[in-house]
Amino acid sequence: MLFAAEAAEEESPFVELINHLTPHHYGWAPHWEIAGIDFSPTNAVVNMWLAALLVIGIFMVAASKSGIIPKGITNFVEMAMDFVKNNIVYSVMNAKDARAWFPFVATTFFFILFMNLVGLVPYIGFTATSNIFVTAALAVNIYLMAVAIGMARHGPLKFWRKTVVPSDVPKALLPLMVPIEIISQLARPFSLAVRLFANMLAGHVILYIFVGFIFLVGSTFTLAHLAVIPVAMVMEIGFTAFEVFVSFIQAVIFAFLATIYINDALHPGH
Amino acid sequence: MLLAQEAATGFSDAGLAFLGGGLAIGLGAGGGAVGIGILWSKGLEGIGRQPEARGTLQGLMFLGFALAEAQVLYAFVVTILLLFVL
Repeated sequence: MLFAAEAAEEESPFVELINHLTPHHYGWAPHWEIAGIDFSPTNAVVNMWLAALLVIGIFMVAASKSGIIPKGITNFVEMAMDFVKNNIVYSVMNAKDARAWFPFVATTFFFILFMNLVGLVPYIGFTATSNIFVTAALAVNIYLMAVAIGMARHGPLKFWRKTVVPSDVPKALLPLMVPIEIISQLARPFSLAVRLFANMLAGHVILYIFVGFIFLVGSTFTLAHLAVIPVAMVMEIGFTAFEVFVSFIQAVIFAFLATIYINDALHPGH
Repeated sequence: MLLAQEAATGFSDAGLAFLGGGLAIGLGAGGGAVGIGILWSKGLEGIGRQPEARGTLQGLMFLGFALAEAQVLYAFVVTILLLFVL
């Protein structure tokens, strides 16, 4: 609606810039169609491939240099894995479960971290996680896997009874507590997906708006240029630094909450 | 029909959507900012009382910040929906 009002008079620069945030096909990508459904890779898909290749590549390089004392990239990767192990997995699960689930959580963490960071690279990056379908796929899959494992391990009815009915509540309060617990369980995959998506999208929208200020001032040099352009550039650089920090924090939060949901499925009831 | 609605009551759908969008992000960001402020003030107070607890408290402060920030961003998503889709 805002776009419609703007497009009636002239193309505001913000419209063109915000279009960069929508999924679109790259010019060089092939057009695959299977049974009438368009499977040709969009920019989100290509960036997910790039992030996955980066994760695999960095870890293969780091693992191939062995030695008692790590140095270089092996040192950095070991530091990151130590952080994930101590602060995310072993602080939530008991030792036996944590040993089994640590590779999965570490893979999720590094994949999301690289998807977030690739979006900050100037020309070749589109943030794959700023697309709601990507984050919803990750979050819903992790939550459904946790629920399936819980139901397989404890039996479906017993699992849901232990999850949704808190144990030390007087019986008269149960008709009030159980719907609240059900809603809070159903909100888990939704909030996991929307938290990551909204953080990435909001960061990139603000970055594009700062760039849009420079486009808004125009190409003929006036006095306003001297005021607007340095301020917009400094804010853009500062905000990109903040976006690096937010990418890291959001990857940590996603992995931490995924670990909590898996732990809640393995040992339900609280 | 929209013009008739606007002529009759003085409110139009587009105007109400803008109003709702402004209210959504205003109240959402205000509440979130208060929550984050309370969280960090308590955390910094704890670090001041016992400087050895700095590592633990810093990790938990960032965790709480991200969870409170998520609520603000839900309001942001609703605002974008109201401004650009409705």
